[in-house]
Formats: sequence, C-alpha cells, structure tokens
Amino acid sequence: MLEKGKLSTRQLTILVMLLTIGDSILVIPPSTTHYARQNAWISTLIGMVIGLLAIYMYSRFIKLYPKLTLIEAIQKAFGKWLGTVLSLMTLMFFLIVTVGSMREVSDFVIAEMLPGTPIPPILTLFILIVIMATRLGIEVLGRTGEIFTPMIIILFLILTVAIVPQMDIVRILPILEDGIKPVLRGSISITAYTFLEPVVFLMVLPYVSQQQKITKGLLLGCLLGGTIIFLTLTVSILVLGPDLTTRDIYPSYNIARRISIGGFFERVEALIALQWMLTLFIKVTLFFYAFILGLSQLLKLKEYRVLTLPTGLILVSLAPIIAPNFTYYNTVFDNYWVYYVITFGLVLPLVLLGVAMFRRALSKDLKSQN
Amino acid sequence: MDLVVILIVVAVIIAVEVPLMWRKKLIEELWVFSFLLLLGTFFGVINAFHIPVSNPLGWMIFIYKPVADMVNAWLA
Repeated sequence: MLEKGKLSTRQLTILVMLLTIGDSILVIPPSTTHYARQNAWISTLIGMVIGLLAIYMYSRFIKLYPKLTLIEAIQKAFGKWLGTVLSLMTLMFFLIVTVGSMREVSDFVIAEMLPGTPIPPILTLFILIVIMATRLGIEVLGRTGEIFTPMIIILFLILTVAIVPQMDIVRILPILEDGIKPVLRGSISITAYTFLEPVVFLMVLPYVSQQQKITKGLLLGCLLGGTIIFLTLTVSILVLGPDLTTRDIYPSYNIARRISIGGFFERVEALIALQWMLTLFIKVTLFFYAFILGLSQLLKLKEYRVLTLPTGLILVSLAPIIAPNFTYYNTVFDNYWVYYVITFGLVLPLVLLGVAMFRRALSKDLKSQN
Repeated sequence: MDLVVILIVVAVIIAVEVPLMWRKKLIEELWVFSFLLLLGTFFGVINAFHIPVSNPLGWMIFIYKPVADMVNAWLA
C-alpha cells in the first residue's frame, strides 16, 4: 500500500480550488488579455464552461475505472507495452509541468523580490518544503490546504475590496469590439492552465474517503477557483486597463502596489506575493506527488518516499535549463504549452473513457449473444 | 565550484536514503533511486558547466508547431 492517507471531501474541494488558482492568478492576466483585450472576462467564462465539462469527464472516469489512479487506469486500458509508453509520457507531463511551475516561482522571486539571485538556491529552499510535504502524504497536504484557505480567501477579499476606488468601468468597454475570435483565442490559455490542470487529481481520487461525493467536491472546487480567477482578471482590466495588463509581467502585483487606504494601508504587495507562494506551492506539490506516486505505481514499488530527493535534484537542475530567459518561456507558455496541457488534460482522459466504454459495449454484446 | 556543491548534495542524498533501502532490502527502489539520482547529477553537471544542451521545450515547440500555427491563423 503506497499511500495510506485519506482525503475528506472538503479537503478535495479545497485542493482543487487552490490548484485552479495555482499559477493562473499569476500568469493568466497578461496571457489572456494579449488576445482578448478588454473582453478577457468573457474568455474566463468560456473557460469555466469547458472546465465544468472536464469535471464531468473526470467524474465519468471514476465510474469507469473505480479506485484506480490515472497511471493504473492507463495500464489497465492499454495493456502492458502501450500502457507503459503512455504512462511514461504522462509522468513526463507531470514532471515538465512541475519544472515549469518552479521556473515561474523563481522568475517571480527574482524579478520582484531578490534581483540578481541565481535560480538554484531559491528553488532548493522551495523544493525542500515540497519534498517534505510529499513524503508526509496526501492527507497532510489536504490538511495544509485547509489551514491555508481562510488566509488566502481573506487576503483575496481584502485586496479586491481595497482596490475598488481605483476601478473604472470604462476600461472594460467596448464589449466584443473585435468579435468573438480573439476572445476564443484568449480562452485557450485559461482553459488549459486553470481548468484542465486538475487532471492531476485523477492520481489522487482513489484516496478520497467518500467516493460518492467526489463529483460535487471537484465541481465546487472548480467553480470557486474559477470565480477567483475571474475576479482577478476583471479587477486587473478595470484597474489597469487592457494595455497595461498585457505589458506588465505581474499585473496583480502592480495592482497591489497601488492600494492606498486612508494613507496608511499601503505597500501590501507582499501579501499578494504570499498568496501566490501558497497556491504555487500546492500546485508544485500536487504535480510532484503525482509524478512520484505514478512512477512507483508503474514500477510496482513498495516505497515512494525514497524517490523524492533525487527527483528534487532533477527538478532544481532542470529549472534553469528549460528556458534561457523569460521571454522564451512566456512565448512557449502562450503558444505551445497550452496544447501540451490540452493533450494530457482533455485528450488522454477522453481516450481512456472511450476505451472503457468501447470495452463495456463489447462485453455487453458478447453477454447478450450468450 | 558548482561541481563541488553538486557532489556534496549527491553525497548527502545518498547518505540519507540508501541506508534505509539497504536495511529493508528494497532492491527495485534502489535501482530507480540510482537512475533518478544519475539523471539529477547529469542535469546538475550540465548546469554547473553551462553546457548547451537540447532544450525539452524545444521538442514541445517542434511537436505542437502545426497546431499552434493553425489556431493562430484561425483565431488571431
């Protein structure tokens, strides 16, 4: 038994919400606004619809592959050889997303807080905590999410309410100025990064204690996370306008800098940095955990904790390599990474569902013939 | 200088994890551990000596360029 912990439904909802917020709150505003301009809020709504469809897909997954994680389901559906190849590709997906998120953490810290610091020391500190969380198991991670959530929600509300005096409704007009196509292009990145990354939960669902309530938990988490992203994006456009949101690398940080209430509630951008660190930590830990657990399940190991430290070394070493500078990473993120996430977040579960339904129809056919 | 740091880190990782696996006779885990550690050392050395190496994101660009061009032509 690799993982003895159990998640409650509320912990699942909280983890889904935190993962949905994840790195989206940091990198989505400039990416989406680039294409959709002032209509980026419509992109968010479109993304949320697709996210709900994805959640429906994951809940069908539970019924067709009960008590199996994603890697085990791939092996069951595709057999030994093709299953192993696909499992390795999925594990590489988890690994690359982890490296990408860590690169985002280090980029943010280097750009805003500790300029000139090389990447490996920052990430070493970060990865040590991630490793500790992974070794302690998914139940500890769920409880950690429960502890973080009130803080994150209160911080978010404070920051959103405090900036209301600086909002200007004119910045969100005209609506659908260039038609629906730019909005659709903008909704691609939101769909992928915010609403399709919860595919990682397919690795964790067997460990939820109340299996019947999984769908409700996933749905609620997705809606909550999506609402927070929607609010963040809309606030960004209302306060900064679409032009500045696109050009600024971290617009939410810029907004937090502008908060000034009564002349004393100022310089609160550290609060938003803290919030991002927490949600990014949850995302990195979940994908890291999915990689380690998936690898152990693929190779039928009895102990997964020993693999955490070497994988941590791989991640810290890979992070500076994957992109020579921020512009490169941003371009790949906008244009190519989205399709990678869509492949594994949408296409892979669809294929698995298709295989299972095909098999079911086939066996029903055989049974009815007998 | 960087190489020394990497070697120290690798030594520490081995010292922390290997005794546990040796005692419990987890041979398979030991193999996977060694493989991952070798990969990590490999990437660490590349980092330390700034050797230019094939970029994994480059492969991603190569694979998804047709899709990206198609979507960009249609929607942007």
